[in-house]
Amino acid sequence: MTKNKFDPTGKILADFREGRMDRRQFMKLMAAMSGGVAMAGVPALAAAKPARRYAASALRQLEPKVLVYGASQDIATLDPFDRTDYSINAVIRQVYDRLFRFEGGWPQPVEAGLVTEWGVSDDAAEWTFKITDQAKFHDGAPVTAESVVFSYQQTLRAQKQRSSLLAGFLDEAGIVAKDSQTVVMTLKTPYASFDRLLAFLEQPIVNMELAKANEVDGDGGGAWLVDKDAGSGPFTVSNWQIGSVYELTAVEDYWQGWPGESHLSGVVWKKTEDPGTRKLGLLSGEFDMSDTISSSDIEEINANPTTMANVGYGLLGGYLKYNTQGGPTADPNFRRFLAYSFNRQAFIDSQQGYVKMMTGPLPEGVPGYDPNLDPQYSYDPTKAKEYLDMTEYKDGGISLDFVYVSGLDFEEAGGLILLDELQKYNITLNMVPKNWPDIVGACTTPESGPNISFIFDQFPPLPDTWLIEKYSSKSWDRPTGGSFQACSFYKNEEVDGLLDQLRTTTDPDANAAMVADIQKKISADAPDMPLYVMANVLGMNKRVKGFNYFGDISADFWRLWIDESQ
Amino acid sequence: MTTSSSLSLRDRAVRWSEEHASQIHEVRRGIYRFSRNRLSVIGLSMVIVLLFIALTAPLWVPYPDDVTGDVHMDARLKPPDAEHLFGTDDAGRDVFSRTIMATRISFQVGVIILIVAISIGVTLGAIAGYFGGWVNQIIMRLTDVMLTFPGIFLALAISAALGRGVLNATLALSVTWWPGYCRLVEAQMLKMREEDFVAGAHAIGASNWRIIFRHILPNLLTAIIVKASMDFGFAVLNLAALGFIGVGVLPPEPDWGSMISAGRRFIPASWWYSTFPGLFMFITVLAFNLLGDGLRDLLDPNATVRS
Amino acid sequence: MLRFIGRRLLLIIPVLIGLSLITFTVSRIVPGDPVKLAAGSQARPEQILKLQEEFGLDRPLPEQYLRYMGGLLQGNWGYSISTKRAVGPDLITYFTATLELTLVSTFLGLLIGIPLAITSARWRDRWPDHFSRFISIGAISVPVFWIAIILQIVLAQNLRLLPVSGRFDPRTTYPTVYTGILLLDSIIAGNWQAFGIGLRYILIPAFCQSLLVIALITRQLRGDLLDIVRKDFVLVARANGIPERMIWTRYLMKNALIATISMLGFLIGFQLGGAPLIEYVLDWPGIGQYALKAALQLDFQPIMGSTLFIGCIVVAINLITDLIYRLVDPRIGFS
Repeated sequence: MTKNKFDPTGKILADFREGRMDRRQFMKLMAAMSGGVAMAGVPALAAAKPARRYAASALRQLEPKVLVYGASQDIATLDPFDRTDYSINAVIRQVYDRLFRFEGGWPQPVEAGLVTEWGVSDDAAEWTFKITDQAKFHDGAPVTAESVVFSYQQTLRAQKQRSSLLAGFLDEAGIVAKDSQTVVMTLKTPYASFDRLLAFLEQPIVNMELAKANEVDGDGGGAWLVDKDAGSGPFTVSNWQIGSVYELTAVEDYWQGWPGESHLSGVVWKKTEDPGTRKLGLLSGEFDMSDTISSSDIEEINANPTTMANVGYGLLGGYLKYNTQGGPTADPNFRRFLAYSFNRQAFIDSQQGYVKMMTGPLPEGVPGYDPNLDPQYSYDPTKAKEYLDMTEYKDGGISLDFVYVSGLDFEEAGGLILLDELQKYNITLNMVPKNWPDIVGACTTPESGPNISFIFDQFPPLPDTWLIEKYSSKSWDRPTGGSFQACSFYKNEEVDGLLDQLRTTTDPDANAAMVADIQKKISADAPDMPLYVMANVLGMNKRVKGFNYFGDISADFWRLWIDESQ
Repeated sequence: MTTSSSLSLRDRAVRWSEEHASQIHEVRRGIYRFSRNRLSVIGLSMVIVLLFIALTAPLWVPYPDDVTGDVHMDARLKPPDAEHLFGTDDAGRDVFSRTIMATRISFQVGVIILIVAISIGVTLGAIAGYFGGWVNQIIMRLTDVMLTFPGIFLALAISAALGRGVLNATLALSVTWWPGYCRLVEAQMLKMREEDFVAGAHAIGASNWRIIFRHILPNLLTAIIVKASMDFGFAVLNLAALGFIGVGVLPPEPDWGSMISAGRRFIPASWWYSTFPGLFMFITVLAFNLLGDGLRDLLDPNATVRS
Repeated sequence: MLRFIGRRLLLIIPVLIGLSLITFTVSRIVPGDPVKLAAGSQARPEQILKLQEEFGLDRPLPEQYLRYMGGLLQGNWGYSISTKRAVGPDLITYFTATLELTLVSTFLGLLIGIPLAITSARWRDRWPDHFSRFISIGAISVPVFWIAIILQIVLAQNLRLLPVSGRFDPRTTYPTVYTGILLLDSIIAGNWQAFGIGLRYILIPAFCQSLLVIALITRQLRGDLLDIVRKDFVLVARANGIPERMIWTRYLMKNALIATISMLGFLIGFQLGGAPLIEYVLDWPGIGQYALKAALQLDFQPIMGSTLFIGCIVVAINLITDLIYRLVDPRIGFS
């Protein structure tokens, strides 16, 4: 601030320094200070005044082609070897390239990314990938096979969440660079769908030189990369301050070019955990896009002239999992009773119709999905009563715990609908909302497992993964306990046997037949109630063009541009 | 026989009032001063109405089943009309019935929180103040710890750890609420144990406990009641805050905080869903604060009545 | 005075140890399994064990506590299991946002509260008094999360006067960070546009937060003024025919404000502890939001870190208030 001629504080401050301070002067000092703050406020208010009509168009002039994204999740880390949340993947996808692109529509086709061509040996064990010689990292270095090998190996070494599925097929020694543009992966166990798995896992390819230059304790630069970028993608990380600012800037001469008529000059990720605020931000024009819009807001967003909502269904399936090892739900007839007791129409109503109901263990979009599965359960009180009468609980008088994630209204709605219905049979349903870590903990053993839990599962579009992770007894009956996906603690020796053979059955027809058979057997046992596939609702301003749904919560910013005429 | 007993009762009453003439005068003066303060009178009447609502609600709410677990997904988010005074919520339930019944639950929880908090706080405060020395140091340092820490966080951490539910929320809030009473009682106790009547009681051989509970605590009763009347509103508010964050009462039980939190997703299209519970909560807290403010003014020894 | 400070500092140590013990107990005796969560759904056994070892969760509880406190003494605030980030730097970042909110809301609170209190005391038991008491009692009775929502809807969504949430316009360049306090940074940089934007973002949260300040300041100051108005020196002044207006400005306000300082100290300390609800609803990236999230995710090192951090702040503010109070009012010594 420039020095004012009128300076009442000067003398007082001087007095204060020289110890000539009494109470009267102290009060004067306080008064002067508050006056100073007040005066500072005046120009601020004046400055704020022209922008009184707070509208997006006024601010748009500052950065016309930057997209502001209202996100339901924070981006805690950009470590390419430890990616968990959709938010982290949404940004890493823009900053790094992958072997395959996996985002050209739905259901997802496998599209080449860094890979120009790929092949597999007859026994489905040795996979060869040719890498393009066009791609360049943001520091100008070419993308080579060495960097691809390094990226996969480092992920396996780091042993973080994202390595789990990969580690089942591959170890570090199995990944080799044959020449500067060729990578060979030799699998521990043959797997015919390995390319689809790789595409789904989206391992970012990291600039090896850069990462190694910043390596600490053999982390492959992981700690350094938490808020930096070493990629070759269409955007670079430009301003990254955790908790407040996340900014990406476009790489104008991106090697793969830009698919749209135009492209974004940048993306600002604005973490907005509250769904109401995300909606308001979109409606007021502050956000160009908001993800995870509540289904009850879709109508309002579509009614607003400048915004629209895209409703897409991915692979996030919601199941009511019964504890098949203990309590009333150990009785298959009681589970069938529950399956026929759930008023599905009421649930559809509660979600404004924005649901895709499931017919069996596999959701639509996974090969092997069967819309006419038999047996298939529906809301049928007569059948429900028949099955209940076959159990020892026909007069009710019992109570069950319904565990769900605290704060998730759609899960709560599901519980309330079941509670309402079970009252008729003198069965009490206790609503038990829990934190997610609590639920994960409870799903460790059948003893701590809840009677019924509402859990969402998501896997690659590969049927074996879905069936094995959810229904094989090996997924819970082991020293470290079960994962939440196996929270029905299902054990059927016949199914276990079939599941063991599933991945080694490489003949496509035989494999498909097995998948169909396993689904039937599981459905007959009703270890869980496959309920619905949750909609990914992405709200956007109509200025935003080029959106193409690819099964994700978020968008592929590479394809988007902003129509400035709107 | 009835006449004789009622006569003797009256006699006793007359005798009692003669013996306690000065106290009665004090109370009368207090009532007069209280009635001079219009805001406090308004607060008191609001509290009475709310208490009446809380006590009798189950007898007259129009849709009691909507409070205990019925859902009507085909009648979601209906605007207020004659059938549903405050409209319906996202499960088709009557917002009026649920808001009213939430008053009852809030009052129950508020009362329990205060009883637990006062019992702990007063006991610890009395012990600390009366005995002094290292006992005082230990208790008061513990109180400092609790007062240092923003109560809502501890309540939150406790309910997050224990799991959701009225009981856990009540426990969590009680645990964070006692230090205020502890400090209040301790300060008064330190002052009072030097007074003559305590020394007198000691001299005639009264036990420590008897002195604390029979001689000193009754003198602190008014201060505690005034603090409690103000705290009640805040206890209710904090329960709602826990509900708002998602660690309060369990569904399907209604609670203002969780109703506001659930309803805000539907604002402004379905404004009624979170507006009415919010208003009810505001009125409740306001009523107790107005009352408490008036009561505190009475206790202020410097406050004078202007005639 | 130095001895006074020394003694008070010594007393702080057991308080903080007690606080850490309570928090540790609460955050570690939980049914959930944070490690399993962090390791992911398809985690292999060796991954879980590796993480457990990394966070030292495979050791007995007392050892875990001592290790954590030992690290703390070396300035290591630990790591978050869910964000994988160091807690210490995050606490500072989030705290500056809370500090900014506190300063603005306190300023707003005084701006509204002081005139209310004077009006109230000047016309005691008449309608201006009723009015301002109603405002101050009303201010403290309003559920902040509710009023925050209402203001958001009315001012941001319907009238579009102010932004919906957050701390700064994402489309504009952030001013250079000197202090972390955005408004101050933009003043230092002379960036008035940034200042104006920052101010618009802070108004709703600061107003919600200031309700508490308004209520308590009005109540305290009114009481103090009514106390002093009966003091002999005021009566003497009145008797000597000093104009009423002068009595209020010269005699009453000065004395009453001194007493208000201690209340102000309490209020600032309280606010610096974070306002989880306001920060959550209005997405203000403050320490309250940080602690709230940590508690909900049972993320124990951030819970410990934020608790102790907030505890230290509150204790420090209390000490400073006490010092100022004693400096200003010579009747209270340092014994």
